[in-house]
Amino acid sequence: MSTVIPIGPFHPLQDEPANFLLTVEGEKVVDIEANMGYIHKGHELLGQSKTYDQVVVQTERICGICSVSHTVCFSHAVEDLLGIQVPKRAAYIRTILGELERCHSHLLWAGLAGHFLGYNTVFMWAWKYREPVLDILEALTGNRRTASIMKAGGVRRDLDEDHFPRVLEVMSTLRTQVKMLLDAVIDDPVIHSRTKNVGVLTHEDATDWCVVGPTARASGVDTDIRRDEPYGAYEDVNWKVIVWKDGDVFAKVAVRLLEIIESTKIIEQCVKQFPKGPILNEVKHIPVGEGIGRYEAPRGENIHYVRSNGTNMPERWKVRAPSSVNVPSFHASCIGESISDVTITLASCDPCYSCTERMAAVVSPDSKKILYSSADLVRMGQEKTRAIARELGRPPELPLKLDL
Amino acid sequence: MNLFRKALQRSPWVFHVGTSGCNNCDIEILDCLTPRFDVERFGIKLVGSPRHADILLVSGPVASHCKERLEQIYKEVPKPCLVVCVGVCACSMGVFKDAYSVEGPPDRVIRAIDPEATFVYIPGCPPRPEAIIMGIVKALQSLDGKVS
Amino acid sequence: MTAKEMMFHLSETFHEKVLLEAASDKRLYVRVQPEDLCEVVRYVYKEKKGRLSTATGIDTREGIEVMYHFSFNGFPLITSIRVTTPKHMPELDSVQDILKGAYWIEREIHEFLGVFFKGHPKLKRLLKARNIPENIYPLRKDFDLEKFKENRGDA
Repeated sequence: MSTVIPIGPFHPLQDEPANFLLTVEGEKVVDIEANMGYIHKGHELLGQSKTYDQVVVQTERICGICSVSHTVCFSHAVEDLLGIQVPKRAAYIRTILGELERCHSHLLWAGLAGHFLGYNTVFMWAWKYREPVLDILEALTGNRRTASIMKAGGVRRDLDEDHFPRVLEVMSTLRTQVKMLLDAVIDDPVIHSRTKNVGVLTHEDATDWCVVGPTARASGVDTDIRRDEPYGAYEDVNWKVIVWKDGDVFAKVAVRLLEIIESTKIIEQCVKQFPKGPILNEVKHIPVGEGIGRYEAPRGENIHYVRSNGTNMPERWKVRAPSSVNVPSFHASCIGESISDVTITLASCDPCYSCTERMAAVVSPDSKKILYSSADLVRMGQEKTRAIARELGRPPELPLKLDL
Repeated sequence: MNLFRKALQRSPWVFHVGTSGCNNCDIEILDCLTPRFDVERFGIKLVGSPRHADILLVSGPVASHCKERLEQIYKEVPKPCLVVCVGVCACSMGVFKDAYSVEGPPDRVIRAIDPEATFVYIPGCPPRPEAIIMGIVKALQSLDGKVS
Repeated sequence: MTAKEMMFHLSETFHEKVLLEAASDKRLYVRVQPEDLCEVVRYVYKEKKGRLSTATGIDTREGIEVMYHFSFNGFPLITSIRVTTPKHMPELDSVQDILKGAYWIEREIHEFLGVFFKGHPKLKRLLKARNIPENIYPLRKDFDLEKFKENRGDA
């Protein structure tokens, strides 16, 4: 007999209406349906009554975690329409800020994933390692988040090179801290039990559902906009695309942690070879036309489409954040999983909180009573980890060394 | 019992409700728990249910989908309570002033069901964790002024 | 592959069924008729290993235009397949049975522009708030924002 279960929010401390309705038989998930709209504010409609510079300001508030991604992606769309390139210095600035954002976003996710698995220490440490990254962002742009620095044609403000020695220091420390986290994760048998072969998204399903970003790369799909349609400084620095084949939660964890390490190397190279020159290729008028811009956000390919009718406001602006294509892949990766594994499976594709809004709880299809709340489901996941730890004779928390 | 006296007997318990924001403010609120800011050392505790809360922390402009839920949560919080609007979107809708699906900032939604509600506004996009902590502390201090 | 190479493959395969325009060496726009949409999508997705990035719906004077944007892993080309359907009866064949990635994308175009995708398994609203009626399509040009807010009772 089937029961419908809503899946709870990613916010560890909130209990809100569900976004996903799971149908379960016994302990296994047999179907999943989305129920969204809580965060929907109508960005695209709003953008049609704003000038292009105002749209950049609005774009930054699509998602707080990946605000640089959306502003640069929109700028790419306008630059594609105009057929212009940005100056080299502006390209390096965009790359440095974009990679710092990738570091902070993956660390944020690592903390939440740790919480869902029951390792609250990982949550605290990951978010503590994230703080120096936000400090550098504040030193360079004036704000921890929402840099307000992007513009079609380049950037508005220059970076002060006096901060660069501190940037190098933080990147070097971060790399050591993330390597420590990675070693602990790769070697821990409890984490292996909780994440290996859990929430598997096969290569075929990843292609069929058109997933992007680390979710796709963890399933063996070799896609990365930084390499496929190079922008910024990515053609001038040495870096590699991280691809794993297994498609399970473990692969997604590993891909993201390894990407933080790659990002630190990219930032270091950009800082060391930071070019001189102008920062803006000024745009005076947007003619009739259309343009498509892409960007590799922390969650995957971000794509914006802009159509201009020659006025100073876009006729049509379309935003597709990466989570819009990653989240539906739950239809493939969640089916067949047990309830206690669903939270980590859903979290593993790193749905941008503001893209996927909140998750839901379990409701009986007949009585409409809540059978399991979202907090219950998170707790079930954490209890499963503790049970496995007890079986294997391991401590309930990861035995990580204290802060370096 | 007024709020300040109630809060003094034990430290203020806070329930966070994120409405339709971009989550920058929600993440800065969560940041307050992390080791650098460690809001729990001041006794400010985030609770899992509105029924245990003294302070309601609201972020984001309120989209149509969220309006009923915010009203329901406000009704469940025991009175007197303080509603703290975190971030420019919660103070005044910010860039979403003309958005078609946004009903209004949280104070408009809550005043419609309780005209006597007390609000505290912490602007910023997003406000830094220090500003959020200072906002809550200042709000409690100003209530102290009202008591005496 | 560049836009010119893709243009060559498409014109060799579909001849007059496609109208091709290369805006640059990495942006190709392909205009098709609604009845040929699924055939061209299948070719780009299966033969050319495209990935559906997204689909954009636009309300134009000629009708509702839907563009399916296909990216390719490994090179910078985006091939956008453009199809226009009349506003008084906007209907298109769903491409969901060709690629599952269109599942949410078509639902979004349906709820904001009113295009009916024939064959879509679950064409119901995804993001639009519950208090907005089914027949109100916010992204159409005739959507009156002021009147909508007045009816809602905004100050």
